Amino acid sequence: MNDTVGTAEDRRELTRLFSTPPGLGRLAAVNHSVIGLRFMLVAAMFFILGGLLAMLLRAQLAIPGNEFLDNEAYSQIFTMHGTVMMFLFAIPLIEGLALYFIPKYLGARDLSFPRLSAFGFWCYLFGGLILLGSMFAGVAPDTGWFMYTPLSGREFTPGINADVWLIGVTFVEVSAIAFGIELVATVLKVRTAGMSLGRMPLFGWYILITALMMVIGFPPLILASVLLEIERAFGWPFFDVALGGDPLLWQHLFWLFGHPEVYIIFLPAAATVSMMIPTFSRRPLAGYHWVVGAIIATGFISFGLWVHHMFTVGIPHLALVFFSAASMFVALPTTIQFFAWLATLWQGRPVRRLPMLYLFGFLFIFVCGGLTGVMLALVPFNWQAHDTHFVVAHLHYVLIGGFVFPVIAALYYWLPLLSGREVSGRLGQWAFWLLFIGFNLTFLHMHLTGLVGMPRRVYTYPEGLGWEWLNLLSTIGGFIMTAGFAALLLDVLATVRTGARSKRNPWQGGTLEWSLDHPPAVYNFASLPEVTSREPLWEQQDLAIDIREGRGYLARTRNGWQETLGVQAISGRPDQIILLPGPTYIPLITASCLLVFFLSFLLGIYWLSAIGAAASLLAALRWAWAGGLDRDWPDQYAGSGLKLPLHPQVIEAPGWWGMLAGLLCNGTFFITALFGYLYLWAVAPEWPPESFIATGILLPALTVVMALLALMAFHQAVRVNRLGQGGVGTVLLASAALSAAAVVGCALQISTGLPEPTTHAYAALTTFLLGYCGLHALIAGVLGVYCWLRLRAGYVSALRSLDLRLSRVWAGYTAAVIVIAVTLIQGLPLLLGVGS
Amino acid sequence: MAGHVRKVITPAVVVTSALLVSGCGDPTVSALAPAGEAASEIARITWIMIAATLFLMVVMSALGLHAVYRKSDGPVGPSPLAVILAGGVIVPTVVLLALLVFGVRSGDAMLPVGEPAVEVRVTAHQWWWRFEYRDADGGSIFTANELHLPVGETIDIVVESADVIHSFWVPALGGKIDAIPGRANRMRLRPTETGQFRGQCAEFCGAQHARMAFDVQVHPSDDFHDLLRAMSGLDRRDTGPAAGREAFEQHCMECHSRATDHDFEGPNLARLAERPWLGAGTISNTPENLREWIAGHQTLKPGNRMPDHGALNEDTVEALARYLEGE
Repeated sequence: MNDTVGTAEDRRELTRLFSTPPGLGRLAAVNHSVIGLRFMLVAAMFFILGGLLAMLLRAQLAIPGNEFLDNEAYSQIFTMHGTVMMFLFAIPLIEGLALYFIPKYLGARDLSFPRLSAFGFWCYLFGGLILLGSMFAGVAPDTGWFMYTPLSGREFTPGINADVWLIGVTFVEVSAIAFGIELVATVLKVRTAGMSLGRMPLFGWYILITALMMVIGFPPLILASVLLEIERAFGWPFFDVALGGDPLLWQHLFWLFGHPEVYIIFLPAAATVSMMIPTFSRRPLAGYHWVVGAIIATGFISFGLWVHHMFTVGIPHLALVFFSAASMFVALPTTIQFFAWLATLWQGRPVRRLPMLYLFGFLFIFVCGGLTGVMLALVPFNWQAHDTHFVVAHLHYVLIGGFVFPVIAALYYWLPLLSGREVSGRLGQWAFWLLFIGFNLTFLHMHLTGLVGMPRRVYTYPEGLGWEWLNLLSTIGGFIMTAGFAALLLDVLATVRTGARSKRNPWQGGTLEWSLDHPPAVYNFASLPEVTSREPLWEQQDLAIDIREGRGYLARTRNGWQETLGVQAISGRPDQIILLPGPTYIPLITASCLLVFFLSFLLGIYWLSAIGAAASLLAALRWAWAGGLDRDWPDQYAGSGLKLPLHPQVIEAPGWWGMLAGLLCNGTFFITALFGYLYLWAVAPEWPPESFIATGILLPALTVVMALLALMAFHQAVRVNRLGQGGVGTVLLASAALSAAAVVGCALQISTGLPEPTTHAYAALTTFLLGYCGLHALIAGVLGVYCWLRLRAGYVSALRSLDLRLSRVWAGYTAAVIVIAVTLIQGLPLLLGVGS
Repeated sequence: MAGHVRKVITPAVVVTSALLVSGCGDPTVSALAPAGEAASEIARITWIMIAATLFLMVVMSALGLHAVYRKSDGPVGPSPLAVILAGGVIVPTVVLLALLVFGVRSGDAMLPVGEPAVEVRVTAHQWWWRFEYRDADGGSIFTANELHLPVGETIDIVVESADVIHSFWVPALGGKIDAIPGRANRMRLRPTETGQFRGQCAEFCGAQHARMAFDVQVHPSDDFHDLLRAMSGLDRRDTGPAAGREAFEQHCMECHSRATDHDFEGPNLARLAERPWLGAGTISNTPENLREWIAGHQTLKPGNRMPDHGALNEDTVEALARYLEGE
């Protein structure tokens, strides 16, 4: 077995393979550590920006009738403060955190799709720069980070401001979706040997559920943004009450995203707490299964309480009770986690180190935010407190207490690992007290400011209403907190630049990331361990040394491959060797094509926008082309006598899971659109207008048949290919042709069966649904041709069938949405007896 | 720790004293100084919940501090399962269920059930309020930015919007209800005390959301009905100096009326002289302020929907002011 032990030569080769090229080559980086750090650094920059904006707001509100900012500047600044903190700081920071740490926790050398995370980074950066640029151009969004229609519509916001928000944020959301797909596939498939789901560190569970929530939570926001942008750009009246739309549809879609968003931010922060508490208690976390259950429950319940942002819109009280109950009982999973942490501390021997101080700050502030959250869940209280400074105080207690404090604790916790430097602590303690005192001095009495009558989002207020001292105190507190952040920044910079060399595993943690070099090697693990427990470094003697010295899986290098293990999702038994991609410019190129699409749309140059969209699709296909193998390979030795197939030759390759996660996201988008259709049908008067019902059953039926035949052709291609028979190419071309026919069917239904989409929300939404179907059929057709080309180039065989199987799934999804959409559009009027 | 404790206590004292100084806020605008049935009920709930929140804060912080700063080195406390079950599941379930039942009952009691004694229709505009009453003959009475209510009677506020989403809110009387285009939302109020209160828009509605307040006066029931009679059919188009009337007809009449039965695009000005504020709470209604408002309202309330009258000469401003003052 000696030949499977890695040598110094292997480690040099691993370094060479996993390194990012210097100079301009950095733009080609795909390594998860590099991308993760970039995410975190850019997010930190945006945090500083968002903080400065907050200080401008507090300066304006320090005294009544202040003329420091005018109403336009204030509107732009408070909108950007919320937008920056939510979309450009909090979400990207947790993305960076997870991208950086997940492989290190799971014992992998990289993520499932390294190029996808690089692509996500560029989308984030470009979208963020669009938003940032608008501020310097003086046309930043100014209708609030919640963008309520009709205020954000073209009539009341004629300028480009609202378009900047819709397009910039959607661009950033592309990176959130990419992250969600990446992390679902990674946590399920890319772990080290023996790491069953039950042995996975809680960090993995938290990130898995967070990623799933992002995959399901972001589509409603993206849909809402797309609809509103179409309404603004082309006048399709989705939200215009005069033409059959409804402004409340926006609110439902926005908060359907917006409330899960809070837990998407909180869960990863709680993940860091669940990793630190055991380390500092010197024992595993109590109630592992309870916490896993709590995480999953949070994921579910958080999608059932969005209406608590809408208690004052006039929904019947009986309906509110359901959401009130859900909003209260979402506290349960959190109390379970709290008491699991407490029980761990009681059972263990707590070590009082700097991160623990911040965890105490987290506990105090977050508990307060949670309790005021329960208060707000009470409907009558909400009627008073809604849209006042009470809510401003509450949400900052939740987000700063529940996110910023644990993240700072985590920063200090992981700084030795990240930087290889020791944390000294003196300045960090100062920073803590400034932050803690400054925070409470800003926000504690702000609850009262709201209760004594001060609404939110006002740029000025008259004197004599009893709000003066409360506001002045908040402003003073805000500046103290800013000093705290400055001290923190100084401390971190000083530690990274001049701190003493840290010894390995300074806090004596038990999870795999602490077995790595400080800072970690570019390939993370010189060899991948076989783990037998949740805290392998505590339970398995000398594991860290074995990992480093190459006594594990995949310690040897070969063929210039970057390898990591893939496992069966539940058992953690290795089932494949995943070949990882090296540095490439294709993510940057694809994101740049998308930039052309978004930016020219923003500027109203629609022909260029269409070119950008087509170029993006081509770039994506070129990207896909780079994967796969051009011949069949025998199973390869992975170490310890284990032989495994390469991932393109495995049924459950990571790409398969990525496709499923992607379709889950896409399906949520589609279902949300159907929700909008049914919602307007139920709520809007005269919906649909009698004369608008599309008539004629032939065309819709033909479209459905074409889509189903295309699916059958894809299925046949997969079957014939598996049996090793000829004629696969012909079947693929047939499927492409059938898909094209379905595209034509959708287009004809729009052009012949429907009135102009600008005339009514019914016409607009029906056109949108059929357009969605047509787009999917178009992509199915392109995939048919793509598979044919891959087949001709030798990338497809009976063993290497992933391209075909992924296309078949896509065709199946396309057929499903066409059947559902057409049945709904044609069937519902028949069923309800509307129309001719 | 002693040093740390001092660091916490000093600001805590400062904050607490600030809270005491502020008390329950200004009685015209504070939810904690209720003058209506719904507001009283909500204030009662608020105090109970604040007390419970403070209690739970202390308990949970104490538990956390004890767990970290305790003397003994070995394991303490009940078994982890007991801690998680009791603290994480049983206690919160009981507390939340009780709170839910309590909240549902109290919310139900505030719903508009049955016919109200008085109904006021409210239309929110960027950035002012239109109120419409019915007089004894079923005719309409329009006012702007001034809401009159009788004490002790059930009142339904029916809220609509003329443009974007706003929210009607008089903290001293009750909760808020949104004004949404295409909808008429209803909220029940029952003032328990007479006096003057401040209402305001609570939903961000654009440039001058901050200056969208209205004056609420709660009268003894008889006074209210007298006032309604006095307002009914009030027509001040022909009162005041002729020069002012001509200027009004030339510059203002397209959007404003001086008769309470006219519903024009801009605020009704029949009772401007009786109102405490100008520009929906922007400035108080004094003779100087009125002249400043007419000449420079775009400076006082930038972006408001009234065309800029900067070109009016001083004489015209003076004439308009006198006309509006009804002299």
